Amino acid sequence: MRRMGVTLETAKSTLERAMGTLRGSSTASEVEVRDMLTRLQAARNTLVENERKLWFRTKAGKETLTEYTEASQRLLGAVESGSGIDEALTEVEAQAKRISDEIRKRGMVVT
Amino acid sequence: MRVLVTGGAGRLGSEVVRLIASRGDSAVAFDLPQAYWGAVRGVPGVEALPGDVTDKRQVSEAIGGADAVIHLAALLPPRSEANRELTMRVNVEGTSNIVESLGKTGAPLVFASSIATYGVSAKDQTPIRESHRLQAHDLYSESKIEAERLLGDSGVDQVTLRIAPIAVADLVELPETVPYRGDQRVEHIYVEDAAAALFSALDDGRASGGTFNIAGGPTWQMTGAEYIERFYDALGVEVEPNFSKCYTAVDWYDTSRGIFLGYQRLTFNGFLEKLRVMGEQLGLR
Repeated sequence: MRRMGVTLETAKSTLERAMGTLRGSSTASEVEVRDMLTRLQAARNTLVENERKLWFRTKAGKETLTEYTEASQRLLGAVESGSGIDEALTEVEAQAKRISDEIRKRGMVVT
Repeated sequence: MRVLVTGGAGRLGSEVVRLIASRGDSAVAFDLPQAYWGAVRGVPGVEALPGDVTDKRQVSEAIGGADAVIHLAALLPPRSEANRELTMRVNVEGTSNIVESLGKTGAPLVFASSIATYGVSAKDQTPIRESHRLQAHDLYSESKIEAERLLGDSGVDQVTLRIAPIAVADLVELPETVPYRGDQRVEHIYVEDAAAALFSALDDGRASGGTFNIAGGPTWQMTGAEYIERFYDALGVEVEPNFSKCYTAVDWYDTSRGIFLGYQRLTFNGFLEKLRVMGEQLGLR
């Protein structure tokens, strides 16, 4: 039941918080922060661009969204603690890729 | 028999190579290295051969070991409409490369053309026959008409199939704009039936040199709104489709000329039943 409660909004707002915390980070250089923000924004855009897709209503889509949200929360924790950020960000990116790959292969084919 | 299938990792191509392998022949799926290969890798009797139809050398090497070719590789809408040069390179030059190699080996070819070659026919009398005029309305149809002309002039032993939009019994994302009007005549074809038509065209000597409409048949003839409503209702998904405001190049087709290919196996009601099962598996029903 916990999974049913997970929403796209949770994932998006968690990433927004991570981005906000990252902007105020004093442990990374300006260049590193900019690079990480770009990657984070791209991962978040995947959700925003696909949030109305039907696939999110499937069992697999809901499970993937749960995993994406959990990865986002680990990233937020990493950003707040200042350690393991790159690994956590890579995990979020992998989840975002899963979503975009799945939705891309479900396009309508008109020959 | 060893059959080379260009575009063999794609949605239709993967069905074709699996069908070939299931009949005891060997299939070579030729497709871009970056294609999704998950549907064909590890299938007994199917060899995965990454390559590009725009590369003459790769095409020549691939065709050199083939007894027959089914040519599906193409840029499809909407990607085909973004870059004219790329679309013509893949869809026309790619076909030209295949024809050139087949000129040396003499192997037969089945070419996947499209009902898009008829252009927008909503004001014409239906069903649309193979003798209907060809009229490009976008880059994709222009490239398919040009590829058909090229094949006709080539002297290669070939069959051309003008295939209707493909229907798959799976969750298909509703595009922002459905590519036809709600009141437009539409006719799709089930992906496995399209694959059967491609295989039969290779296998049945009566098809040689012919051009055939390949579509679902009378049970698949309906309006665009009816198709979308019944499709998503069977899956168990509520949708609010936004249909095209203009008529597009989908219609009802006369498939009697190619009926001997024996490919029209699934009725539309049978397709809906498959969708209901899929909807349950996906947790949508």
